[in-house]
Amino acid sequence: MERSELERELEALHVDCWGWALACCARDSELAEDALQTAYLRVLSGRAKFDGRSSVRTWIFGVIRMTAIEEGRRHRSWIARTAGADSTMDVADPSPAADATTESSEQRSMLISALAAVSPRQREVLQLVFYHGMTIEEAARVMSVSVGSARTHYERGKKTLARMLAELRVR
Amino acid sequence: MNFSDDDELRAHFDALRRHDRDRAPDFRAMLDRARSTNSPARRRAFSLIWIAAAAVMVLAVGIAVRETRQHGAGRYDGSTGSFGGGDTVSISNWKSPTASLLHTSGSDVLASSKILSSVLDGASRAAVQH
Repeated sequence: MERSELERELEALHVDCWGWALACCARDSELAEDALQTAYLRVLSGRAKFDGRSSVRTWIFGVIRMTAIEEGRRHRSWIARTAGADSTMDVADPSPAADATTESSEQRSMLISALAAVSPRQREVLQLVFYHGMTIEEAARVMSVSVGSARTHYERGKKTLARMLAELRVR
Repeated sequence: MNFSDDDELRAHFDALRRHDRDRAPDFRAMLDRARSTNSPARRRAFSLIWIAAAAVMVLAVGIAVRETRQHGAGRYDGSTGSFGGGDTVSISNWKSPTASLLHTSGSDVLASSKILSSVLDGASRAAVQH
């Protein structure tokens, strides 16, 4: 695939990629931006090669995921070195925004809180299916796991998430 | 888990997606920033650091080799039976560096006296000839 063609593809998928990078970086926008930037460079410089075995989106999502894992690891070790603090990849606590009263922001806040209760793998598959509209097969390819494993994570994650949302609604 | 649960989850994720979409960084600006942080100038500076490091290594190795050769110059070479490099030292001329310490004021007294010539020397020589 030509570089210009790749660039066009990236631009078309950018908003989607941004959402996925945020999910991979525990919704830390600064870290997500760094990871996305590095992933784009890898794609455009040819360090990450598209072999045509999946869709471009699935491939780019896989590159973003791997890059985010590396960036997260580097970020955590940097925090541990500088502050000596134990940093985890927990989902960030959603701070109340200016539009906190709207239904949409309430839904968003509840979802982010509920997502903190599911495992990282479950979170990934749920994000890919519900947020990005992928099939479980596509999600499995992005996550580099078998379809069976992805399906198990999906079912368990969905149950936990529904339970957590119900609990949060009662409160 | 039923369809209404799925729909509810989808509604929650839709809200999150809308929120993220509005806050997505500009693609071109992000790409330009990525390129500037990985610009040829930066790569060149990085490779210059490597070249300098390599030069220092070569220099250090060169100095080490030179030092080794200098120390090895006076070493005995078994195959030729001579000392490598420096002057050939004869074993009969060799003198201990601490030899002077053994030379004391009383050493002359202790040394064996020289044999003086005697009038009997001629007589004994004639007797031997006969």
